[in-house]
Amino acid sequence: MKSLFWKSARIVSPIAILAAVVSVGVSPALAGDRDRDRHRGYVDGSEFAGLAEEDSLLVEVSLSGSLLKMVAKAVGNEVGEAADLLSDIVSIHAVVVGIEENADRARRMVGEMGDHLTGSGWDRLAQVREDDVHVMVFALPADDGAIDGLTVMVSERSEDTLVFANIAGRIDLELVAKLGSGLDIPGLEHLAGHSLKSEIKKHKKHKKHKK
Amino acid sequence: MRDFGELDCPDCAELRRVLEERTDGRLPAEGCHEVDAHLSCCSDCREYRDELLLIREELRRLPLIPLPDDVVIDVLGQTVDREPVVVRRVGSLSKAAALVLAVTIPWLAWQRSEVTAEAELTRAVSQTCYVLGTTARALRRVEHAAVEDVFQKHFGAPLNRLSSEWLERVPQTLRRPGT
Repeated sequence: MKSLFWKSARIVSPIAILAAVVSVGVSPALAGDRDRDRHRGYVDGSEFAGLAEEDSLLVEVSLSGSLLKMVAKAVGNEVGEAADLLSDIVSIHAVVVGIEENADRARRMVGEMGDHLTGSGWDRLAQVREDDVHVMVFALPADDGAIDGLTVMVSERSEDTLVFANIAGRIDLELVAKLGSGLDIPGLEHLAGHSLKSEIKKHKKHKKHKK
Repeated sequence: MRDFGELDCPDCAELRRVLEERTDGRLPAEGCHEVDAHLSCCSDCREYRDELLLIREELRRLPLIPLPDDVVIDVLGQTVDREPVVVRRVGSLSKAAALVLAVTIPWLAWQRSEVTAEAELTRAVSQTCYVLGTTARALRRVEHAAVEDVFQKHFGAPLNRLSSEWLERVPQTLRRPGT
């Protein structure tokens, strides 16, 4: 009886140790995702990724949990206010997609997303149509008058791109506008290394050159 | 005892090299004849041979003293029982290699994870900048549009009544279409 116990223990213990190691490694990431998905300000925009054709531009950003905390810390060392802003943010989610072939479908999807948001308690802060740019900004008001989420959709006809961006958490709009002026947060150039903006620009240029 | 260090005769030098083999009976027969022929005519070499035989005889007379047991065991331990040198070297090399691997693999894994984490953080910062920048630009655009709208509603009509000289100073975006 005793030997049977030890035999089974010998087989089960490595599996148990492996399971424990895997769960320890994975649990913080899962916890981050759970927090994000549970937050009322989070909006999943991954359906917009379906607009991308085979060689279209497609960038998906999904930051939450410990990685976002690390970003806040790294950015905070350079710009203190950025750390204040990011420390209250639960997730940053964005989809940048080329809509050369699917402009009409993209417009329809943006409209549907707008309807879905306004039907879910989001306020449409503004909708601006200027020349070839269409901007929609939605905010989710919190009970205490603050903002729990911000969703922005920008489509540019000349660039054939659609940007869906969602920030979930307590958001200070003034701070966003102040910090993110022109996306070049001062002092972050060397931290950001290769910039996502330049990557997108390069893709667009390559696309135009191909045409 | 005579000093046999320096020899002028090459035959004598050669003989003394092989003399020990001759007295031990290990020299071939032809060599033995040559040595005996030289000894019969060289008194110095004869004397050298006699000295050699005397030393040998004296050594044989020395009493036999048995080695203490621990010395025997120690000597046997270092000779007969000793592992072959190659095996020992391989053993110590494998231990060294294991030690190096034990240190290097975690270090490399740590370095790799550091590099990966750093790259991931850099990418995350870049993505954060991009999303915040896009959002900020959208907010500015909305703000600008709102200000424009308010301006149009409240100040559009009075502005349009301004003289052409003043109207030129009003930004195009604030004018009503056709003005």
